[in-house]
Amino acid sequence: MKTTILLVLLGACYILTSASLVEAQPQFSGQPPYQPLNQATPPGVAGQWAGALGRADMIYYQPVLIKLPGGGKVTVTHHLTGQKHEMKAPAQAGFLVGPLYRFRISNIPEFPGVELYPSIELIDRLHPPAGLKQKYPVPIEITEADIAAAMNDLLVTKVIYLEQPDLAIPRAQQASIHEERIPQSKNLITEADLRGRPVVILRLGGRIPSPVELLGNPLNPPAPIEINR
Amino acid sequence: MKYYFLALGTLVVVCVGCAVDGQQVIDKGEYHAPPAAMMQRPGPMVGLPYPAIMPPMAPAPVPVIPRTSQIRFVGPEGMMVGWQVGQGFAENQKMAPGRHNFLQGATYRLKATSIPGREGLVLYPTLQVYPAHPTTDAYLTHNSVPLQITDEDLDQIETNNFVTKVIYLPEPKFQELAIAGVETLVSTRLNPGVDPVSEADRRGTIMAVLRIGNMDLEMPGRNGNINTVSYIQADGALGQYVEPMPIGLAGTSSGVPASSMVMGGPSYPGGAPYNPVSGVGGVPAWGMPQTATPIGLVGPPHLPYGGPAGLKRHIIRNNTRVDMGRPVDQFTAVVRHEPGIRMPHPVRHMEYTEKHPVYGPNDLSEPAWNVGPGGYGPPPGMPQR
Repeated sequence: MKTTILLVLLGACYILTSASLVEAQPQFSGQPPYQPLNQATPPGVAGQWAGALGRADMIYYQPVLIKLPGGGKVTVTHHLTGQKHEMKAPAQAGFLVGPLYRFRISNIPEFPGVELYPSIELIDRLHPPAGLKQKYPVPIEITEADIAAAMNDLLVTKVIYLEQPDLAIPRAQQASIHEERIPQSKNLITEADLRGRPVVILRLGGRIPSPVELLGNPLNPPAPIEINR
Repeated sequence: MKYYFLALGTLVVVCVGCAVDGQQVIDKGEYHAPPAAMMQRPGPMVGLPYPAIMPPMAPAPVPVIPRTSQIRFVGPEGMMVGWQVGQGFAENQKMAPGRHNFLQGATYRLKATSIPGREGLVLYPTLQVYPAHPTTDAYLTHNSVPLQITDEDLDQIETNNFVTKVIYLPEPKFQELAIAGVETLVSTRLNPGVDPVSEADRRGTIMAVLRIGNMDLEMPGRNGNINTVSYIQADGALGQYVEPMPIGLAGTSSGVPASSMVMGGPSYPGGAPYNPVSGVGGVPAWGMPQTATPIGLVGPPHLPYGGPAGLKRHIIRNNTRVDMGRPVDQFTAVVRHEPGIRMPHPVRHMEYTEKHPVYGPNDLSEPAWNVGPGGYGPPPGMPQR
């Protein structure tokens, strides 16, 4: 009898111990995979991590297509000389994965006189068939609502992801890409990761560089940009 | 028999105690990454631009704009803003609405004049521009910080009240809006006794603090019978523009250093340096001849001048009773994060099942995250939206 009670209690101890150990490593039950980065992470860190994780290819320029409402102009600067190159929107240029790039948008018909300086950082790249990378760029769409929000002291952060085929909306893509609004309380990168593969982080605000800053070329990108002339 | 059950009970307590260490009683399955500042730097005094566990495969992130905060003077429209430069003021430097870049981690004295509807009112507010924090870095590099003096503020000031306005970025986890924006706390709208700076610090991360009273800093004769003459160094109305000069530090009272490295530096001529570090910021390095004596006095020169050193012994007896304790040869600091840092464990085993949906003609299927229950995917175990 004593032996039976002892075995039962020892069994209970073992179950308690093993149950707790299982809980120490929770599985993906009811919550998304853990993501240490989020939209509040300082600009450049996500790109830096992507580079450190081996996603950066220093010779592959990922084409990015920048669309503005009603046209407008996109200006990028040379990373060494500071020479400015102005392109008509939608403008396409190649960027490296990792560095934080900043460019200027201006001459937007709906917002005369407004110049904004959004930043993008690529945290991944696409893998199109050979020779077709210029045909399938990563589209970045800056809408009127985004510009209006930026001018009202708001910080617009967008994570552009490549949708997962199994989880994609089964509808043809419209003129504007599918966009969802996620509350600040949620992790934007996690939400994008649930829907596909995050590729680009876009940030847009209303800060305008001072004339001194513009003279000193502080907006020069830390790495080259590929431009197709 | 009772000793048997006593031993058995002890065994149960020990086993359960080993399994339940206080953290796992209620396991929510949450992970807690180190604070954002630690994610950028691997440790105190080590300023690597990337996590120490990862090699630098990509260029280090560089600040795209120098460490300044762009303050935007929203209103009242037409108000002229100047700032203190040395002992005088540079007046009419900006007209609201206007903006200017102020160096972070500094306090400035502003001068507000030509306030519409308040003829003759001149204000001398102080503006504390806080250092950028990892949580505000993205906002400050892309946005300006709006600063508005309202009619209510001006009424309060004219009735001898002191107004403190704190502009802060709310904590994202409490935000249900999709786009990040700033909020302003005004001391006059808080309950008596509530410190707006502490309250804003609790709700988010402070970016700037504006304090306004009705004290006239250029009143003639404020130093007894001597009539001081205001010394204006620049006037924007004449096309003279001068960068503002800080009158003090800002943001250090919160306990967060302005930089990742704690640096020493001089204070003022003849004064003791702050955070003295030998050889840094004007603090003499060890071994220099001017600190040759143990009590800080300069040692005697070689006499006669120009001759060979003849002094063989120089004795100073210090009879001061000193009780400073014994030198510490071992120091232990116990640091604890609440909640503790917890990251997913490395994967040991993975099973991968790929499901291919099969559809008939004219079938249309929506993903579960778009239409809710009834749609397909994500796979079991993943969150269903």
